[in-house]
Amino acid sequence: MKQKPLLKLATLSLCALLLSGCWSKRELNELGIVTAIGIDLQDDQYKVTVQVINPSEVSSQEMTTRTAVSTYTAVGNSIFEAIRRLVTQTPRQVYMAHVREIIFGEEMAKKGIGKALDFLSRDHEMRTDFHLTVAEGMEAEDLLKVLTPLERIPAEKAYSSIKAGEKYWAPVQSVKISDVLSAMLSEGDNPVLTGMRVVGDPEQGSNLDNVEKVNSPTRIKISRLAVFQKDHLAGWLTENQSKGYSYIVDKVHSSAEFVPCKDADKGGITLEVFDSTSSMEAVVQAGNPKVTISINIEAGIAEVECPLKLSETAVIHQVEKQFEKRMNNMVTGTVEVLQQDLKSDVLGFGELIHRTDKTYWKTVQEDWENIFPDVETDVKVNVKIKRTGTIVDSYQKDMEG
Amino acid sequence: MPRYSRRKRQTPKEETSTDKLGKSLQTNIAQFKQTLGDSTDIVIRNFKAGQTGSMDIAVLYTSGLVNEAIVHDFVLDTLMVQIRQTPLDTIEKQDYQIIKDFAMTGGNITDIDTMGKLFDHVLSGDTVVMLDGSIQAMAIDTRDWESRGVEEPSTQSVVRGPKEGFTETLRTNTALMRRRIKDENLWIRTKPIGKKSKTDVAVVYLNGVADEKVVKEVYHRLDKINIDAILDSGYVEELIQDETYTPFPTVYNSERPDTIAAGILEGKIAIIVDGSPFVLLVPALFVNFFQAAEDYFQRADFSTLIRMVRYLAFFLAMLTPSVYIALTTYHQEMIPTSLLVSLSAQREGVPFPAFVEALLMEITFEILREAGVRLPKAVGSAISIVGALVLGQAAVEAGIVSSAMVIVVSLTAISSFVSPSFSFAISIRMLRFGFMILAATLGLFGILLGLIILTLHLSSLRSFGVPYLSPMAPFIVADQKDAILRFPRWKLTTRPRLISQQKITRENGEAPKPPKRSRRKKRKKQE
Repeated sequence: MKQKPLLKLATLSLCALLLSGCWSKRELNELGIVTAIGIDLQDDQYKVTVQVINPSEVSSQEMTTRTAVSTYTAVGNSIFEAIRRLVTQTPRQVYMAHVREIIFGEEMAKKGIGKALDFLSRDHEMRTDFHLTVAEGMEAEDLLKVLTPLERIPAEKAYSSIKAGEKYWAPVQSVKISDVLSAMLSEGDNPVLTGMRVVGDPEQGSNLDNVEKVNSPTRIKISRLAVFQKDHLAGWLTENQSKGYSYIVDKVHSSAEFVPCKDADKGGITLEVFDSTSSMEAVVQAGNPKVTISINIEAGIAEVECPLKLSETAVIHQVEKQFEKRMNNMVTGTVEVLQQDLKSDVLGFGELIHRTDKTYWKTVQEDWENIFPDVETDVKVNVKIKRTGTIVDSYQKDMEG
Repeated sequence: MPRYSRRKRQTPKEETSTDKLGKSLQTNIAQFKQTLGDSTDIVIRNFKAGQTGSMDIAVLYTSGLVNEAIVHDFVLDTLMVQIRQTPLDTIEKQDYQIIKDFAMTGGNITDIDTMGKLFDHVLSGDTVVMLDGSIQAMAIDTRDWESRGVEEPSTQSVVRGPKEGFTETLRTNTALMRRRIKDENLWIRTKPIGKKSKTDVAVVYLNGVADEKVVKEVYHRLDKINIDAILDSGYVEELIQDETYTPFPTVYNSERPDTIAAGILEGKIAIIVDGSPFVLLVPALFVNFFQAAEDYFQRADFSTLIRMVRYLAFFLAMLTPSVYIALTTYHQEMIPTSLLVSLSAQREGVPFPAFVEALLMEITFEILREAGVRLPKAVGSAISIVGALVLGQAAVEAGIVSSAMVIVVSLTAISSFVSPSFSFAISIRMLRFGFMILAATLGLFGILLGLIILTLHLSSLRSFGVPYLSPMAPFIVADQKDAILRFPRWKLTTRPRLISQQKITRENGEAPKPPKRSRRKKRKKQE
């Protein structure tokens, strides 16, 4: 009996734990799982569109006439307000932990996304592994309406498209909120976002028959980068320029590069890039900054249309030279566009110069936007062909003979 | 009134137990008969022996508990036929000693001088010979009754290994032990426990290997038992265990003689209870409940792997439903998106919260299991069909439970039967419900809290003075060889440190190697 008070105390304190009773409990079927959020502007207010999964459609084995996702749109003074207002339309509480994509409409991106990012990084419910993208030439709302084949959830399609694009093709990048914030907030660096666009009629894309055809008439395409000047959209890079950007900032995992033969109408050689490393160095000489970009590419020969004797080292060297030249052009083109047309330092030259020469940076810090276009650049590309594939010499020669 | 009647019933018994036998045979028999209430299974054969037939002899035994052939051939035949020509009446007074020393051919004869002992011997299967005029009687061991033979144990079955199991007869069981350990230090001491049942309880241990303190403690605890009847070793287990209020068993039990023998060789103490094929083994540690007999019959690497699976199954059986509840009601962000989508699709239209759903299924499963155990075998298949169809399929199709929950419950159910010890599986099943409540109220935080409390509780447990969690807490490096891992046999050189505190070394282990090739052969090969 002596030990009983302690036991009572323990029991009571354990019961106290249970008093919180199912606090913040949510059953799965009370959740509207959001996979993508689109943010647009409408008369100074935010127009938020969410793409909510219809779980039974997504995982059902049978064909149904209902779509796998639904979109809801609400307008509010802030993003959070708009999202809460969604409840007036959705039957369930919006649950945002599984958001895969945040899409900004182009108009919104031009006006600036900085204020919207506060909610995205502050909200506790959201994970930080979603991608930030820009809808090219349209509102995010329209993009979110397009149904996609293969992947039933369009946002999931976009997510894996970006992942695959980043891994095997290189012009797109999976940009996370932390990347954008750090690039936006540091002086001498600017963010890029992946662009998404709709090919075909967006209105038709929201129809179920869009996915009932082998060749869907309306599709979402992810192929290039949106360049930002601080928090607003400065312009777009082409697919090749986007690739060039990826090479410069050392984000290429694997890609394919084509160069024509000497005799141009015979076709060309394609390389499979399987490793690329780049480094940038800055020097300031007599008040003139100069940046050297060196890129080392390791590649294998993927496809040959020219009559070449690849078993000879000299020929391989020759091909390497050709590619170096081509890559040089591509990268230089990217730098030129960024410096002359878009005037946005997404390559982080400013940061680099800051690190190399602090005193010089202090003098140009305020005026960096104007100085950036005049920074002298030097691009050095080194291509190394490591493999020629399962056949060595091209048989094109024999075919001709 | 009830008090009065109780006292009345008890009084005569106490008197008879210490009563000395009288000289008059007829008085003794009359008292014997009266106390037993003329029970029909008691045989009292009264006859005259000796040349002149002047010696009054009575033979008493319980029909069914004795081998009638032995009683007839060695007792009745001797007394009535073979010593017919002996002039018994001439020797006077020494008749008893003469008959005992020269006539009786039984192997084990005991002298009796009180009424109590008379009852004990007759009722436990001995044949008692009483002589008129003698204050002593002799009890001849003729015990033999219908019993189950040695069969394959119904629990803890093995694929490879001995298939003998203990039976309900104490003597058979001690014989099974002797046959495995033919060492003079294997001591078997028997003591009747239970005021009414007088069940023989044998303590078996390897003298010099078992910790003497623990042996003393076992005797002490057995002596303290004051109970009417012991009908199974479970009675003894409950009366000698260290801690009553714990879900975990602190006494090991097994139907397998090899398992018990292995325990005895480690320095543990076995308690065999007459009438129960389940032999107790103390001290029992947490890790013992994950060691199956087969671990030692199969190769070491395989046994280690299987043992790890058992630990995994332990956690699965305990935590699967609670983790499922916690994740789906509190931590949806931790579930991969595609899994979340399919889970929530299954939950569409399910009317209950996940906790109620889980509870419903778990309870239903427990009911099914209980019914399956108790029902006659012929009905068993019907039950399993009802269980599989009604619960598994129809409930999901009717939308009362989600199919994911059926998977969770089945996984839990299967995992809970992986434990080689049934008594341990029960404790897991009990804990599961506690964890489900914690998960439903506090999510993963609650589960973690429960695990911390569980660990604390386990660390506080002791089995006959040995920490329950050893060799993990306290951590003993040498004993890790046979805890979660199972090292090769030649490495199992020492006995568990805390169980046998004497003679730690078992054998000098050396890895088996192929014989060395002689040099001459080598040279020949090179040439």
